[in-house]
Amino acid sequence: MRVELTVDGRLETWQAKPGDTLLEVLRAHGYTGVKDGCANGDCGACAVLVDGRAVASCLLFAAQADGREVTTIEGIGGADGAYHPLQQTMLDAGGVQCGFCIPAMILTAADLLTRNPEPTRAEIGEYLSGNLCRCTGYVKQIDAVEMAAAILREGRVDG
Amino acid sequence: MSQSGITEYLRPATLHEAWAYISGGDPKVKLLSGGADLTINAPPEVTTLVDIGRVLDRAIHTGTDGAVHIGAGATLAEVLEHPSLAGYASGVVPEMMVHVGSPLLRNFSTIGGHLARGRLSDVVPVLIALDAQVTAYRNRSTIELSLAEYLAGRHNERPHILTFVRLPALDDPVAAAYLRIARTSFDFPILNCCCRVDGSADAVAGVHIVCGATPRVAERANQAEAIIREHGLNPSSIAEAGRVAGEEVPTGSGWVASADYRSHLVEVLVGRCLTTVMERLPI
Repeated sequence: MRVELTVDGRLETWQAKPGDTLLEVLRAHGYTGVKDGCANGDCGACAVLVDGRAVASCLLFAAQADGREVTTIEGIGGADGAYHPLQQTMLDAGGVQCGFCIPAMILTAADLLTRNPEPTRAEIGEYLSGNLCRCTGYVKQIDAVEMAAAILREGRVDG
Repeated sequence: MSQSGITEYLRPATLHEAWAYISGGDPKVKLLSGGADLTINAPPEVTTLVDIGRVLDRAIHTGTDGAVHIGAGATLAEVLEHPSLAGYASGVVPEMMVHVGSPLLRNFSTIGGHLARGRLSDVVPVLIALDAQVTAYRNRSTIELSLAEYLAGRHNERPHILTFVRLPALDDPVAAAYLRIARTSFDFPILNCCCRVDGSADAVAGVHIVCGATPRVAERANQAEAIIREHGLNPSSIAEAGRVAGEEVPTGSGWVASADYRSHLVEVLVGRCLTTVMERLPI
């Protein structure tokens, strides 16, 4: 079946099987920043933005994304290749160790900051509750989201 | 993981077209709303998905009658965040909804899909405690019935599509509370409980005590409710209602909890929930 969607600003038309997940078709077409962790909705490593909301792409059929706008980690930065503030602060705060969970965590945090520009640490923790990290213990990642929120509020960069 | 048994994906343009696909009751054909359950747990006999995500209403609004109307296509996140529900019954809907999975699930799972699934739900006990009504579509007609009746199965055996949820207007004062026990913050509940009291602690006009994930869908604790109606809300009546609820609510054993453990949780959660309700009611 044909699936037509916009990925990171590019219109894509792909063939997919009716039972394929969005995770599978994204990775099959080179969007490997979308990580295949548990494929069961538990780890959150496959999160992408669909029409601006963070979702587990392993729990969506590819056909459900037809006509939608999908953003992966490759598409969240500036057009000139500049990092999104969340990408930069994740590095600055030391939130990245093995890095496997980070693309999804950044996308989930971006969704949060779009709707809640000044979240508390508890709100950040709650919103990231579906993104598992086995390396860091989350403290530095929450630091990073707080730092990015402050940068975006001050308008120091285009988020 | 790809569901290789699914060979057909249909995108109906209207509710009736969607209903027509399922009207024959063929177990190979399954409705798809949000999809979280079907991507990982599609029954092996299912070969055809009927995507109703774009034909369901997803609006949430407060009607002129004071009731909150929720389109079945609304996501759990939209229900969680909607201002109409922030103050409804002391905010018990968002209080509960924040425990359903994680944002990555709530952002696309729909309230209609969740209720149609029914089991292991945080949502169901709360909506039953709030006397929620649901609307089911079938062959160009609709039927409105209570969620409790709907889940009891007498009305949902014939092919239908759940289209709306309605939370009735409540008379102040009213307070409600929700508690759950689960292995992790976003796991399915081992047991949960919602209590709602209308009136005041001394003069109780109405009481709902509903336990879910017992592991049945949800059970009202009628004898415990009678104790609160008769004696009001105070520490001794709450303790007695919890004890009675622990005895009357049927519980079952599963791989995460025994029936005995669940019965003990019923007593504890009912007691704590009623205490919170008492604190939330005006003095």
